[in-house]
Amino acid sequence: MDGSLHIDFEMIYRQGPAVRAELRMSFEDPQIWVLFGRSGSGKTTILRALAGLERPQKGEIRAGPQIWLNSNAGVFVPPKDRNVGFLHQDYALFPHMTVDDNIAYGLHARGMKNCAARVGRLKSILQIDELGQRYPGQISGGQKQRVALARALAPQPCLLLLDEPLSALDGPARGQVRSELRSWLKQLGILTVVVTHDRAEAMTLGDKIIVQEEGEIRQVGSVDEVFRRPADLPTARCLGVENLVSVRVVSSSAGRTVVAVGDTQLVSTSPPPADERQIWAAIRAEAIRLASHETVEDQANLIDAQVTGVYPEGAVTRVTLGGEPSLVCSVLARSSLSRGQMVRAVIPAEEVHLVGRPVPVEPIKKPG
Amino acid sequence: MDWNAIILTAHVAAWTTGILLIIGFPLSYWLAYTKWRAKFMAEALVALPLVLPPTVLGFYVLIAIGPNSPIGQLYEGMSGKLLPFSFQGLVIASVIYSLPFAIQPMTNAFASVDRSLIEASQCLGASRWRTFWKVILPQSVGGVVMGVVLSFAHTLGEFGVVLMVGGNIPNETRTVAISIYDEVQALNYEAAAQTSLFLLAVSFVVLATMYGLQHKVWTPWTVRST
Repeated sequence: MDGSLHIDFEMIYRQGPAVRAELRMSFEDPQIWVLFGRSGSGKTTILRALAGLERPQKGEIRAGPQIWLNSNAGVFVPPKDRNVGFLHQDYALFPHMTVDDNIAYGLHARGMKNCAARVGRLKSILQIDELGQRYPGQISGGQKQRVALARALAPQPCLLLLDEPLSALDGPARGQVRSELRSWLKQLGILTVVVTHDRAEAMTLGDKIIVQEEGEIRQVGSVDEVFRRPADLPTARCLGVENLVSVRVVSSSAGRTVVAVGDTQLVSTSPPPADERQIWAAIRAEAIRLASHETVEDQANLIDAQVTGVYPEGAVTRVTLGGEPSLVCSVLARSSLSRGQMVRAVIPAEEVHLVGRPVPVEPIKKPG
Repeated sequence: MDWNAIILTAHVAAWTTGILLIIGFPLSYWLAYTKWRAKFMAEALVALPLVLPPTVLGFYVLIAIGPNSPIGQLYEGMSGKLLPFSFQGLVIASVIYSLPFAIQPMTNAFASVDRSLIEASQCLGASRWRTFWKVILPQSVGGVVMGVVLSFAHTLGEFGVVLMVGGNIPNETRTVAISIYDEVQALNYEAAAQTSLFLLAVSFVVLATMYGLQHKVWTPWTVRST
């Protein structure tokens, strides 16, 4: 499809906050957008509204030349006429149909002929060729996900919507599918929106990320950029930035802000937020390096602290440091740290990101 | 044994079940999926035959299809006959009397179909009609069979409504239950016992088959693993 997907709507509930969304995604340069937020933040609502499974009371959704929703004109295109692929959290495979019949369902429903070739091609891309005659009750969780993906992709949708695509998988399957899923989606070149609350999933799958909190979109940007530079305190919390330290500004000049927490001073390359009275330094756990006592480095913040806890988490180990500020950092699992040991935490100035309270979001504009 | 009554009863039950199936699909579908706030009124209305005495139900049906009613007049104009005390009138009464037995299991079955399957079907471009036949119905086979069997078995044994609406005309409205009543009144206990036993056996076999099927593997897709 030409052009882009314009989203600008509001869903109002009798209880709980309204869900608002204003976004623009290109069909011509299809990317994988991660819709990230805690459960209850309204991210699934946005996904369902895009599919047409929910009908927002106010606003507009436009897909290229087609208008899917316009509340002023009373236009609402039902899911069956949107040509959107939707992958349910539990995959929702039809239990009474074979894998082949499941995949071909959308093709038959749209009256397409010669389904076998397309079904076969999708099965070979997703490596499920041998499952054609099985029923969903007879295949594994990972295989179900591939079948559901093949079924959603078969009618060549203009937009693919994935609702927590990995949550029904456990253990090793999850990690494997996570990396495979991105390569499949990139191979197919389709505009995709993925809902997730999992950081690793967001980082592995996404090109762009939309941070959703209490019904509002807080920040939109590239995955790397948003995780490094959250827009404000709630966004940083929502993204799970491990260290959020309340600080005060000591001095600020071009490209260099000095802040203090207690007696410790930290240098940051980010400009101070507008309201200087309420500022937090957001430091990701993986940005902190632990070094021996004698290390001296330019352009870096050095904090001497005592290790207060060592928590192995598989590939990395989480280490907590006492003192002011107390910090959480993650180091490679092999490192031999123990409780009580003195270390020097090295924090590059560009990893000290300053955030403030959020700027109030303006009410949504009326479409048209 | 009164074979004429048995054959007539089987005819009434078959017609009733067939009509209930045709009415039942749309009505149960509507009851299962409507978001109408006053849906409970419709549910209560459908369930009424469960609690009303057959005489009350029969009385209203008699009035509704009588020669002074619009339905009765329409039928008389088309066929030149009267509806009450006829086979057709009996079938109409039976349909109303057995309505909840068909509707309730079917509605429950439709309503319990996983919502995400229906949504998946819609997102894949299927119409409501296609979604019903390809997804909802195959997932509700158990409930539909139960509705069919229950309405058939229930119609076999009805008495009060038949007496009110159909009367007691051999080969027209004299069903098995009426026949048994007649035999007892005439002190023909042996004939009554034979027909009763027959009805008991048929009803038991029908119900046992239904429950047996419900507990067993229905279809290949319920097989969990290979």
